[in-house]
This record gives sequence, C-alpha cells and structure tokens, in this order.
Amino acid sequence: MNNRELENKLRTAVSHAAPEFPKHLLSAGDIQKGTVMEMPTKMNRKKIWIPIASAAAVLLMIGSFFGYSTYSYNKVDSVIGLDVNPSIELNINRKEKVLNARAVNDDAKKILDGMDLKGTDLNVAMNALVGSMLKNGYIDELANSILISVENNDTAKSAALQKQLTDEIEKLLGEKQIDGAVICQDVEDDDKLQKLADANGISLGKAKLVSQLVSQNPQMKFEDAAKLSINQLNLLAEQKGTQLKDATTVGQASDKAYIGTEKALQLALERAGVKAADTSAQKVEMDWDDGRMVYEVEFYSQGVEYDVEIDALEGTALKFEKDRKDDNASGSTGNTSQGSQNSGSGSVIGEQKAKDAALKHAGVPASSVTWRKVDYDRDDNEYEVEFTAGNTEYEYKINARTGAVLQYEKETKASGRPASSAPQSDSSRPAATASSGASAKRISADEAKQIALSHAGVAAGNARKLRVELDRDDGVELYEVEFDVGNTEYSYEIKADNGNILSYDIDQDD
Amino acid sequence: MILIGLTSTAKNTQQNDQLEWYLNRLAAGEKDALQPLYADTKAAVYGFVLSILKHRSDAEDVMQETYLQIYSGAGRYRPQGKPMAWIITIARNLAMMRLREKNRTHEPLEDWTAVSLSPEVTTEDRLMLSLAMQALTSDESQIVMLHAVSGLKHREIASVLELPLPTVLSKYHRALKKLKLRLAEEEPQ
Repeated sequence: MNNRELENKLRTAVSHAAPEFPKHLLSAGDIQKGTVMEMPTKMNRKKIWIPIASAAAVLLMIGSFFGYSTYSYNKVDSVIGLDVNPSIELNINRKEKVLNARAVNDDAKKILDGMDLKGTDLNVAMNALVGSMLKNGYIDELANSILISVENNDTAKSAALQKQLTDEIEKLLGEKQIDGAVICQDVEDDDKLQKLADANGISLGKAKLVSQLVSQNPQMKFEDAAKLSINQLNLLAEQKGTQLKDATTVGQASDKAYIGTEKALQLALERAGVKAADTSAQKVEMDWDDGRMVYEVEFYSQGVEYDVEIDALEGTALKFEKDRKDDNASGSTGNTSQGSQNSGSGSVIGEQKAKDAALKHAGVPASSVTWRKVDYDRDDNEYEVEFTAGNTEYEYKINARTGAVLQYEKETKASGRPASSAPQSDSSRPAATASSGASAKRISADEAKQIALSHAGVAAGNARKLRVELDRDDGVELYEVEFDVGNTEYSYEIKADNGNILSYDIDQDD
Repeated sequence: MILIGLTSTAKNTQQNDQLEWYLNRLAAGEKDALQPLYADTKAAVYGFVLSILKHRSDAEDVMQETYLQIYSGAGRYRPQGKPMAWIITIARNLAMMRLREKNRTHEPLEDWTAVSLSPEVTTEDRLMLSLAMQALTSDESQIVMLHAVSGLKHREIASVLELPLPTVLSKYHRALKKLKLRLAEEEPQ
C-alpha cells in the first residue's frame, strides 16, 4: 500500500466517524453563548415590526406610559428601500421623519458611514443618500437604475410616497445630467421573501424584483441574480420583457457600459463568417451567464443554426455553437453539432465515444446518468459533455480526436451553493493553454516536471504516477511535482515564476 | 495525467472559495451557512481534534465549541485563500485548552475497536482510527490527519502546528511507515 492509498483509507474512516451536524447549534441560545458579535442587522426589521404587529393592547400600554406623542413619533409608518448597488432601508414615521437607516450590504455601509439621518426629513435623507451614491460612482450614465420600494399598509399613502420619491430622484439626477431609470414598487412584509432576502444578503425590495425576474426566466437562479446591481437587473428585465408587478418604471436602464446589441450581432456574424444578408431569424438577448453579462445571439444561415455568446463588456465570443438542422445523417438524438466531422484535423471519435470516455473517467454507470449536453466544439476540436448522476453534476471536455479527458468539473449540489464564485473558466483550463497566454511569467507544467525529473536524475519513462499541480501559497505560485520510481516517492515544490526548487522530499517505501 | 492534476488544484481553489463564502455569510449574521460549512469541514476538524484529544466525546464537545467560535468569529476572518487553516487553528486552540484541563485527570485511552460509532463506520474504518489513535504519537497523528483529511500542505501544517517544515516532513513519513507496518501486522496472512 502506498502513502496515498493509506491516506485515502484514513480520510474515509474519519469522514464516516465524524458526527452529524448538531441541529441545536443553530438555536439562538447556543449561538449567543459563543457570540461576541453584535446582533445581525437583519433582525432589526423584525424587532421594530413585532410591537406594531402585536396589536392595540401593547400600543395602548406604550401610549399610556410615554404619552401619546412620543409613541406616535417613534412608530414606524413606512419602510423605504433604496437599492442601486448599495441597499439601504429607512424606517420612517407618519410625518416622514427617518427613525433609523440600515445598511443591507457592504456598499451601503460605505454610503451610510458617518451619516446620521435620524430625525431628518425623508426628502433630505434621500437627497443625502442619492448625492453620496452619485459622488461615489454608484450612479452614473453607465449604471443609472434605482429601485425604490415602499412598504406601507395604506396603498394610497404608498403611491403618494412613491411618486414623491421618484420625482425627487429624477430631479437630483437631472441636475447631474443623468437620465435616470427609476423602478418604484410596493412591497409587503412577506416572511418567505424576507427569508430569501436575508439568505442572500439583499433587501426585501430587491428580493421582490429578483424573484419576479427569476420566476419569469426559469434558467436564472435566485442566488446568481441576487448578486447583480439594480441596473443589471433592470436591463435584464427590459431585454427579457419581464412584467414587474406593483411597479412603475420611469426611464430606461443604461446599457452604455456594454457593447450594445448591434455590435454584439455584428461580432457574432463575424465569428460565424456569415453575412447579415444571408441570415434569418436573428435574435439578440442580454443574459447573465457564469458570472458575467453576455449577449446571446442566435441566427440561421443556410440550414445551420448559430448560437453565439458574446461577452457584453469585452465583445469576445465565449461560446460558439453550430447546429445543422436539416442534416439527420448522424442519427444522433438531441441538438448536437457534428457538422465538421470531415473537416479540420482528421477524424472525430463521435458522440458515443466521447460520452463513454466521460463516464469511464467519472466512474458512473450509463444507466444512472441523465444527459444534459453533448456538444462538439469545432474550434477547440473537443466535445463538451455534461450529465447529472444523483445530485452531482459533471462537465467534461473530451479531446475529439483522441478521446482523452481534457478537463472536468464535478459539482455536488448541496443546499446553498455560492453562485459560481470562480467564474473564469480559464483558470481551470489545462496548463497547455493557460500558460501560453494568461499569465506572463510562469513556467509551464511540463517545464516544472522536467526540472524535477532532472534533479532526481530520473528519466520520464521511469516515473510512475506523475502528478503536477499548480498551487498558490501566500500569493506565490508553486508547482508541486510528485512521482514514483520503484518504491521511491519523490515530491518537489518548484517556484512557478523562475523554476527554482523550493523543497524536495524523497521517500523510500519499504 | 498532468492535466488532471492541475484541474484538481482548481478544485481546491474552488473549495476554498466556497468555504470563504460560507464564512462571509456567517460574518453577515446568516447562521444558515453554518450547516453547509460544517458538512464540508467536519471530517477535517474531527480528525484533527481527535488526534489531539484521542477521546471521542471530548472531541465532539470541542468540535461544537469550534463551530460556535467559527460563527462568532467569522467577521474576523481575512480572506487569503486559507479558510481551512484558519478553521483548524481555532480547533487547535480549543482542543489544547481541553487537553490542559484533562491532564489533571488521567483517563485510560479509549478502545477504538469497541466504542460505539455511527453505522457508517466499517471494520476497516475502525482499524484505521484505532491505529491512528494508538500507534502514533499525538504529533504524528495530528500531522497525518491534517495532510490526509484536511488537505493542508506540509508547509501549512508546519505553520499551524508551529513546527519547522523538515520536522513535519520527517514525522509525516515516520507516521505513515508505522501505520503501514501495523496494518501489515493486522492483516491475516
């Protein structure tokens, strides 16, 4: 048995023996016992609303204790949400005086820092907040959308407040020559929505906007969309024709930060090498994919459906798919693209072999698998294979000529995953491509391997279980090279920028 | 082979990102993030704490304290791509504290082949655990656990345990050799 097998056994044993999550850990008492942090701010709303909700008896009591006027002044009449990317909620009383302001996200903390709004008029507070957002670059001609959410049981009062705030904000933006886009909406205290909002660190108002966008565009995920700014959400809502309930929209979301639909179409056509005149059924839609804003461009030309995804900021083509609609010769099912079987670099292994290669690597039987995608990428001459087994998603890139696994990703769906916090698929590409362009001063994995082998005086042919990993430690990039020769295990750490050997270890296994 | 290795490093980075994200959420007061964080790190924390305390119920107590402290201290975590080392450091401090309390009252070592454990634990698992607890010194089993279960690099282990890197490396290799030897003895020939 070698070291790795031994470690695997130990790991399995410990994972089996480790106790399950003790549910009582989440109960308030326990958490407070260990806690030194202040109460999470998300509790504030509840704290304020509980006395209001708990009926007249309590109010009467407070009234008789402190006198009617005090009680009335401190009573929250409305909650006003202001979302740009900073998200702020203001509790105001019947006289539109601010009782308190709460920062929902980090951007909002910056805006509210050093600002004491308590006791100011709502208009004055709005003025200060929007002014600060303008000054700090959260609102400009590139991102001009603002979401105002009003929570008040009296619909007439709510409507009046919305109108008043919209006018005020338009005036403020007008002074800066910015064409604003203001979405104004009614919100109600909704427990389910509030939970979603809390879980994603956004305001109730933003959660309402996001949930509408998501429910009408099922391919979007709430957690992903919650990360977008109001301008991005507004843009997507406009582009996708999303109907917003209880909301009025003034102005148009700015897409000036992006290349624009026309440019996106032009770039996609160039990419396909097709003239605009030869195409039909063009469709360009803005979308959010893999952590970035993109344009999805679709068109037909001479029986081929093209599907191109263009990075909305950079204009680079992120995805390019061709699908021959009238050619059924391959006998394959689903929308696959095998158009280039006879072109390019020699023959292609075909879909089935690509699927087999992925399954073999994943160690999953074909019977337990749901196929999500098998696409041939002509440019890279590789198959993209995606499937699900149980609650695990697999994504593979298979060399279309040799059937070798080029890249794979495995993702087990647990509750509450981050929305692709590592969006750059580039970083997970094999070194062969990564080292050629991406970072300027880095030796390749192959070079690192050579350095280690020559230091060890071992011929590449004699090394078994050769592994090269690129690792980052305190900002220093290192290659870890490991291999076995006979019973001897070698491991090296090699600096990625200059190829110096940092440490090595030779272990005789007996 | 080389390519796959690189991809698995990307996985490590991704896992670290994920842990950092949970810590961020905890820092924002979202205690719901505690459960997935627990699920992703429980084996690492348990194995390590166990190797210090060598006592099952003590290890479970310390584990709970560890997660409470992770929750309350998440705001102090500074993202540097090393959430696991941060978590392990918390666990270590608490376990050492417990060990100091316990050293006043000497208890016999637990018999790992007999203690009641989750039904998931196989006979082989029991054997591995009991060897790791009994055949190794505390230092050795800590180092092996941190490398095998927590996935820390040798130099990260050196910094967490405040030991020189060559010491960590030699103890690690000695520990694995001991385990192999004992395993060979246990196996019916």
